Amino acid sequence: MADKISFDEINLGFELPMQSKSITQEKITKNAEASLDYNPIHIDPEYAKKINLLGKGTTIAHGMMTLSFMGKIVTDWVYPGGGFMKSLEGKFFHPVRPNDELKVYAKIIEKHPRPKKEENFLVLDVWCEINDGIKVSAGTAAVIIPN
Amino acid sequence: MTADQQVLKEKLPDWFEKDFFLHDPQQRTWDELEVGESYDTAPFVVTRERIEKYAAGTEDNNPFYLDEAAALNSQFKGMIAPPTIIVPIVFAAIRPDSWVKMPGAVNPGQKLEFGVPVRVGDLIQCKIVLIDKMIKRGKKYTVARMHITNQNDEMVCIWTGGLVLPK
Repeated sequence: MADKISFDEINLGFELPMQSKSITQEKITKNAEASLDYNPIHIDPEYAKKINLLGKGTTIAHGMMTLSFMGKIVTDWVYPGGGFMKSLEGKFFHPVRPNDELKVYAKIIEKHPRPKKEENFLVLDVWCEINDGIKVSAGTAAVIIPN
Repeated sequence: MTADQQVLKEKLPDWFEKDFFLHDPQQRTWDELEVGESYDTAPFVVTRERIEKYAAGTEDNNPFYLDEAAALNSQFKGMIAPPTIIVPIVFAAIRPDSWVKMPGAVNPGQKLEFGVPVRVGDLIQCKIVLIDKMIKRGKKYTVARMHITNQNDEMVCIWTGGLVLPK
């Protein structure tokens, strides 16, 4: 088992290892089947073209797929470290499209000590960029670090 | 996990429909939605198959979702589902003529507050209320709050968010 994360030893500004994802239509469609969200904006290129979706007329990835990536970078660190996910939120302000290269980042920005150590939590800034550093989403995750 | 849970087959509600266009003519427009209204949902039983499919679809192969031995030895004392497993649960639970499934609706952002993790065999219920609607920069937004609970009435997630509707 991985070493437990120690709340006391965490420093603000600590960055988790960046994760990257190559977005393809095939992966978006697979996520539609996994998440049961078959909105045609994600899976129907003809429809996206017909309505000129978001000005470019291509399908877009699910916002919740991006949010799941924002969750994964955090759980990849916090779960083996003995912690728990407390909250996850994100705003999606730029579409993610097939053939985009998505990069996911997370950085610890707040420490919240509590009288009961099993309630100690951290807040992380979590964000995604595509291609040449265009920010597509940003939000926060809160994680409980009981050790 | 028991052998029964291992082979549990997923059952989507009879009303579940992959083709979101089919119910588009019945969709109410943003103007017709009333803040405070709530929505019927179907309960959903979580299967191993769904968790595995969701982990694959989000490229998240955390051993705590997929490897019983690793999970038993963890803070969770057994396998769990990824936190965002509530996405397919909610899409299974919501009726096909809900604005959540309106063709062309775009996701501007969501907030998830988690309680207990979801596990195989859980019976999940969603209570959904429209808590706000607004026009912002010329776009029509909805905001819902979903209280997602399990068979023990434990809070799984409070999900707050909505969509930008095309009509």
